[in-house]
Amino acid sequence: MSSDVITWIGTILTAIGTAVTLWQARKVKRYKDQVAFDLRKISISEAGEILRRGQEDCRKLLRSGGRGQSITNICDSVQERLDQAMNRFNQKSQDLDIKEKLTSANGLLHEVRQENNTSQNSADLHVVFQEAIQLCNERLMEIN
Amino acid sequence: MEDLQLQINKLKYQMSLVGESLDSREHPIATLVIAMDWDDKDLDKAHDIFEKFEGILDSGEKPNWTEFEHDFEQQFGIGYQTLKMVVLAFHRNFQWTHVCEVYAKDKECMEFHEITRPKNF
Repeated sequence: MSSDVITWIGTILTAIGTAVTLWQARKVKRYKDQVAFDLRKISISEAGEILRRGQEDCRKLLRSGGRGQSITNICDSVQERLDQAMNRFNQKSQDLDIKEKLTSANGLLHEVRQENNTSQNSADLHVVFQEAIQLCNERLMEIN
Repeated sequence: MEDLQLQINKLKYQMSLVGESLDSREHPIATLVIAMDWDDKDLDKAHDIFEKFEGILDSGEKPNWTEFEHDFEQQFGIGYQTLKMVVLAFHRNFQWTHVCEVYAKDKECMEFHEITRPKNF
């Protein structure tokens, strides 16, 4: 058997090895993408639920003023929900519109804390929460 | 007169159904008032008790929770188990939260975990 044949066999085996490696790498990437996609779906769904709870607190802000009621505590609770929801969006270039809503809600909440036009800002905050929840619902429908 | 009584009974029954269909997280005080069959004066009396203990806490004294429970028992005839529901309702409505938190920490139980432990979501 000449050395040429052995070289050819070696070359063919190397090519097959490369092809298998490439195929496996593609499979891993597909798997990674699927995991990232599933995590995103879970995160958006969780954020929606957190925001719904936050919106309940916003409603309490709208009706605030009862005996012994603390606006600061309501604001703290809303802030906690906003932070938790924001932490669900970790991917840089995705769901920017939802993140924008959450940032806007943070600004309004700050105004409510400062007691600047409290009733109007509380009403606006409630609307922004509603819009963010709506966006989460729409996003889930889009990516499913 | 009998007709009036029937109407009242019907309304009571309907109100109890309204109470059951309310979300106790979103409308804690309304749910509480209906469940306890309170009127606005009863609610005020509950506020008075919380206010009294808020004052005690503000003054730096250690509140006597047996007295707190006794006040509710005397005023509404309710025991510790029902009082837990009252404390939760006020806390959920962000009213007298300091009193609720100190009481819940002192009387640690499953129901009070939503007060004493950080929120998940």
